[in-house]
Amino acid sequence: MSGAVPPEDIRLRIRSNPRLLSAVRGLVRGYLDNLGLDAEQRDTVVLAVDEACANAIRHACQGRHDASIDLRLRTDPDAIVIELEDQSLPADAHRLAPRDLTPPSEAEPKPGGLGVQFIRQAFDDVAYHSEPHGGNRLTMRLHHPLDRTLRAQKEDEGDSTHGLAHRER
Amino acid sequence: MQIASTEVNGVTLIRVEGRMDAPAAPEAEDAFREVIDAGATRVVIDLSGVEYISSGGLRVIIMLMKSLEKARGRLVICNPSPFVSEVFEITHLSRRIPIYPNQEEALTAAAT
Repeated sequence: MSGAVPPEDIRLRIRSNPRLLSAVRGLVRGYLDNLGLDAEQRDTVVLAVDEACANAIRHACQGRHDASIDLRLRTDPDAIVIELEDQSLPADAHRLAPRDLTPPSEAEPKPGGLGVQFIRQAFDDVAYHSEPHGGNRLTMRLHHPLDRTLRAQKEDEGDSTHGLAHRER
Repeated sequence: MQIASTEVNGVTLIRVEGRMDAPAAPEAEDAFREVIDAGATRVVIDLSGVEYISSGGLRVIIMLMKSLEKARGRLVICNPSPFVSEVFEITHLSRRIPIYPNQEEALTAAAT
């Protein structure tokens, strides 16, 4: 981590086409490389983001390829934060219920729930929010203590970051 | 993704190359079903050419595993990359499917 330079935060809008996921993986991999994650952890996070996007396409966008998904990559002082938003119908609550966050049984592995399992494995905190009339947001946080230099840089950028966030609204 | 299968001493050896992700899953499922429909019961999947695998790829491997178990057969994996090995560990599939570091050992294990 020492000497690593914080990358700019990234916001990307993609069509809900599974064939675009390899490009998303490449972007996330590059972002995490700049943060100095080791290869094993980086690949686990990339897989989790891939699964989150695939789940959004499958469940929220119901397989449509013409919906939009917004991906945001950013760093907080103590965490890497990756957010996924779509404006589709709320995902089936049953698919995101706690039972699906339980790892599939070792004795009887099932295809369902594997993606959620990867997400839970890769991130420390996962939060899902849906709007009743459409829109889903998945926020995934990986605790990642940045060194003092990075913390200082983030604090210095605080004002301009707030300004950017305001303008983006 | 490319999939090719051959028979080695009564064991069906499937070699997969490329990405086993959601877009590639239907093609893999078709190829694995062909193997099952041909009556194979002892199968080795060589993953040395697989650079990436996600739940889409795992789903079809689980499908193949269950079909072989119903037929009292056996599925064995060989040559996974460190990343692919990690994925099998996370999902605990490595406790259900024997994984070998090379093709020779995998073929021997599948045949016995």
